[in-house]
Amino acid sequence: MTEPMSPERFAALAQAYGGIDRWPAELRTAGWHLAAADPACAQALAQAEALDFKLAAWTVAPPTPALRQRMVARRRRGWIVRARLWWSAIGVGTVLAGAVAGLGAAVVIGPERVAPRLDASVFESAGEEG
Amino acid sequence: MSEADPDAALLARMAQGEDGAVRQLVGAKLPRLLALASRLLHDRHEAEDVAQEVFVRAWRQAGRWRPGQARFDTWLHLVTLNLCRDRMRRRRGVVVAEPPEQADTAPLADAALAAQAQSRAVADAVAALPERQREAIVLVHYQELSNIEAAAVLGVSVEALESLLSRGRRALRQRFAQEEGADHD
Repeated sequence: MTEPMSPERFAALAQAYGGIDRWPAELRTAGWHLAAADPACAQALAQAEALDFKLAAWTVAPPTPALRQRMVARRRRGWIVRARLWWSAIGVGTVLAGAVAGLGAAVVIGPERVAPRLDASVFESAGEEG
Repeated sequence: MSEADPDAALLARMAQGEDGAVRQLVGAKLPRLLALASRLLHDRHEAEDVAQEVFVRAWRQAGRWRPGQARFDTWLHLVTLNLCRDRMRRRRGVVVAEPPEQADTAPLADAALAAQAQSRAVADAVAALPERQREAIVLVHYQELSNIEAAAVLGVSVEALESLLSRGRRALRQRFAQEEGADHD
């Protein structure tokens, strides 16, 4: 079931989109019916199709195989760069993890081994002085 | 957009690093995007640069693409259009004696020369339209986007899109009629 279309709407659609096969899909059936029934609509359609035909003369060369290959290669380069960054990140992460672990060890182990020695030296000096 | 995105499966394969998916996407989209950029910029080299930039952005987005909003193809058109607009704006600041066009020095047969002249005449006519009308006609007539997709790319309602198309096509018809009248005089 398609809703009937007014000749005004038909003319507006032909003016905007051109031939009926270029119209929004849900409006095409009603458009074909009206074009067959109304000579004024048929004429508006013929005018629109003539412009479509004229516009079709503007052609653009397709991409060359070299351009296609460049685009694909660009993606591959992107993967390689990302892989390098990923490995670099692992390297940096490892170094940072080592540094953090070392600092942690210094914090955990340090007070037991370093601070007493420092205190001891202070106390030793105080003792010697006393 | 209720319909499934026809590119969703391809994007998923691409996000997983499948080389064939990349080639397939380039094969499917490059001709369309290059045609869009060529028609908006009238310069093949610039159009190729734009297409390349669009694909670089597409590669970045592929893994993060969320289906169900806009179609991937619509998004590609939006990015292409915006990059072309940027270049057009930059170009306006530069005085160019002649619009850049590809020089083809190869000898052509009469029919090919006539076709080239007709193609050039239509290109010039579309280029003379106001920017929004030109974009609407390129997106709908040449790129064959649906009215909803083209309206989304242009950021307007479907009614506004139809108005842009109508005015653009009317201006083109008048121009061609004048040219034909001048030829007959």
